[in-house]
Amino acid sequence: MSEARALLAAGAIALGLGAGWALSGRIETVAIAAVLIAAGNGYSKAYSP
Amino acid sequence: MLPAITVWMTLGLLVTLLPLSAVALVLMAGYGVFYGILETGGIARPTPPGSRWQVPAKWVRGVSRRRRFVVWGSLLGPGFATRNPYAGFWILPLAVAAVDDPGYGVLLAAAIGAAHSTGRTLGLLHEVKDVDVNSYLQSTLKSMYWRVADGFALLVAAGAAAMTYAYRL
Repeated sequence: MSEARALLAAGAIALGLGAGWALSGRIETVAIAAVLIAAGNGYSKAYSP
Repeated sequence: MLPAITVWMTLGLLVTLLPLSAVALVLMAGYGVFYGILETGGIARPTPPGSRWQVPAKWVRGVSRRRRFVVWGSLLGPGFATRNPYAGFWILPLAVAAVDDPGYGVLLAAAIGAAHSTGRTLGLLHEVKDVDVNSYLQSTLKSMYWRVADGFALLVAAGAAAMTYAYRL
């Protein structure tokens, strides 16, 4: 993994932690992430070879 | 879309009736970090869990339009019974199981089912519109980009799950 990608990956984890902290650990943080992943997963499956 | 939402709502009801919330959050964090690092790093193996099963042709060939609609909608729409190269899909049932309240779990499952099937429909329509001679190569390239994006999304979800779990301690 390149350094830039490793930094972005660490930033992504920090973003999730920060969002969870901002919402005081409410399950909505996980719920919102799940719905966005679902939409992206459904869309991107059209491009799976 | 409706069959997909129905399947997801049934799953939501089943998994939220069990006391799996804390375990599901821990599994979400672990799964998200593991596959998130693999996908963002472009590492192909181990491949994400999934099914290689295909809908048998006789289930959809020579049958009524309504039956085809139900078969495609209930098997392909929810995403469980089809090949999926992105690890993000299997964090979704964990997210549903992480919800304590069955009513809220069913609602989240319905939202996931609606989002996944709508995304799937839009993706297919977009791909059909853009099809050309180089479509296979372009599709493979786009799939690689999507895999990296899926990895970052998994890492965000893992962080969110870890913090949610930490607040419950």
